[in-house]
Amino acid sequence: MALADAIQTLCEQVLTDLREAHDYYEATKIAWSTVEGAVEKGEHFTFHNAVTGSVYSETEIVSKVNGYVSRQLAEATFVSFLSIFENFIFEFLRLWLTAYPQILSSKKLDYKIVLEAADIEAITLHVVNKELNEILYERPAGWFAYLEEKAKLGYPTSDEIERISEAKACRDALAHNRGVASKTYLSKAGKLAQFVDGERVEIIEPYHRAIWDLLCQVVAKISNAAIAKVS
Amino acid sequence: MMTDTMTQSPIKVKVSDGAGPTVIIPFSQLEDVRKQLDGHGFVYWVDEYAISWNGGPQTIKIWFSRKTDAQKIQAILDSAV
Repeated sequence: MALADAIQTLCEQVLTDLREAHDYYEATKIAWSTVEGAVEKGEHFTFHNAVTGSVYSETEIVSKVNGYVSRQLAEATFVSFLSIFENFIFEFLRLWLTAYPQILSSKKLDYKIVLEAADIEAITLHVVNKELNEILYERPAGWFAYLEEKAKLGYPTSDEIERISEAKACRDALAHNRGVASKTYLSKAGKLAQFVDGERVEIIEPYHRAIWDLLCQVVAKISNAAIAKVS
Repeated sequence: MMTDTMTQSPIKVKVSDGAGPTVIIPFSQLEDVRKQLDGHGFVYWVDEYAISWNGGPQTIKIWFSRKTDAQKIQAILDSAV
C-alpha cells in the first residue's frame, strides 16, 4: 500500500501543479485585459523598468498585450506544462523502480558504491537514479516504451504518445531553438508535426488547452492503472 | 457592417506586433460574430471570461492565429449585415 499511497500523492501534486500553471495563464490574461480596459476608459500611467531602462506609456504597454499573452505567456505556460509532466514520468518511474528493485537486478555497479553506501536503500537509489538519467535523454516514445516494459500498465495509448511527442518537440523548439521549428522538430513530432522547417512555433490557445487536458488525463490514467495494479 | 452596440462604431480588428489579430466585442454580439467567422472558416478562440466595467455590459476578446489575415477578418465584419 505504501507504493499506492506514494503514487496517489504524486498524482495529486502533479495535477495541482498543472491546475496552478493553467490558473496562472488565465489570471494573467485577465490582468492584462483589465489593463487594456482601464486604458480604454482613459487611465494614464508610465511604466519604468529599472533593470532594462525601458519606459512605456500606457498606450505602448497596451500595444504589447496581445503579443505578451499569445506568445510569451502561452509559450511559458506551455513549457511549464511539459516540464511538470516530464517530472511526473520520472518521479513515477523512480517510485516504481525503487519499490521493485529486482527489475534492475542485472545492472552492474562499482564495488566502491557498495562500500560507501549507508544501506541497501542507498544502493538501490543510486542504481535507479543512474538508470533514469540514461532514459531522461530519450524521446517520449522511449520513456513510454521503458514505462511499459517495466510497469506494464497499458498507458499511454499510441495516439497519446504521438500527441505528447509532438508537444515535447514544440517545447524543445521553444527551449532550445528560439521557438523555430527545425528538421529536429519534424523528426521528433512525427506525423503530427504542425510546422514546417524554419517556421516559428505558435502555441494557439485551443492547442494549449488540448495539451493541458491530455497531460492531466495521462497523469491520472497512469496513476490509476498503477494504483489498481499494486493495491 | 457589424457595429459595436456599446459604442455604435464599426467593430474593428486590432493588429499587434508579434501576435495574431484580435477583436473586442460586446458579449451580447458574440454569437453573431461567431456565425460570420465560422461561415468563413477562420481559426479563432474566445476568452474564457467576459469583463464588465462598473456594472456595464460585458465585453469579450476574440483571438486569431498569427497566420490569419486581419484585413480579411475586417472585410468579413464590414460586409456583414
